[in-house]
Amino acid sequence: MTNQESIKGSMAPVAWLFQLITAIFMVFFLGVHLWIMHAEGSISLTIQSILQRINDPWWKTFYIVFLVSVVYHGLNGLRGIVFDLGVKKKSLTNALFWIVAIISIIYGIYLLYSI
Amino acid sequence: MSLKGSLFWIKIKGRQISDGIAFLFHRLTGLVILLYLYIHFAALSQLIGSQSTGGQNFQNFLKTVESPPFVALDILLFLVIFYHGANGIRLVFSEFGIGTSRRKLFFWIMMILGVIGWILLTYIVVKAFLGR
Repeated sequence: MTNQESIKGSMAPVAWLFQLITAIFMVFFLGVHLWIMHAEGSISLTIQSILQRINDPWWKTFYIVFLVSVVYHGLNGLRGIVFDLGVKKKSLTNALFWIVAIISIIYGIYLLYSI
Repeated sequence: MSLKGSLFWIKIKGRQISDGIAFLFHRLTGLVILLYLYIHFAALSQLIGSQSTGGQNFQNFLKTVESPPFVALDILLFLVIFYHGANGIRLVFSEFGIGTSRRKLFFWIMMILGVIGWILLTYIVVKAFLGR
């Protein structure tokens, strides 16, 4: 086994492509989120400002795309680590990955609509 | 695969900082961020129904997350995020062949940018925290 620089070698090409796409998305989404919630927001964060934002369809779309990106990127990375550990049951790992990803996304969207 | 082979990815000896060690930290920080995502879900679930309760649960939530230990943990989390982000951007560029000839230099440039970003955000958060 040689030194690796990324998890690329442990993923199917399509999974790696989406890992890159979601990474690029997250630089933007997480940057905006950190700015709003922790930089600007830490001075003026109120329940009203949060509710106003999550009731706005554009912000809702923003958070849904962010949620899908972060869940895919995180769990796909974890799946790569699991494969790298030498786990042989790829179909089971893939099935678990999708089940956890879908449940996480549904729960995240539920949170977005129920706060 | 043997246990030794499986744990190859956490081996540091004989590896370059900009190569294997950066990758090791990239994975470790990725795991921390993934764990945090689910803690974040659990924390946000405390806010369910805020719209109808007029935000009382939000005030309680804010009291917890704005306490000094939470702010300190937030700042540590920012460091983890900025490392993962800066190294991740470097990997995306590398994927397109950018910075591959000066890998070590590119790695350190991204680390410096990441640390600058972290210091700036920490400064803003601490300033807001002290001004409260």
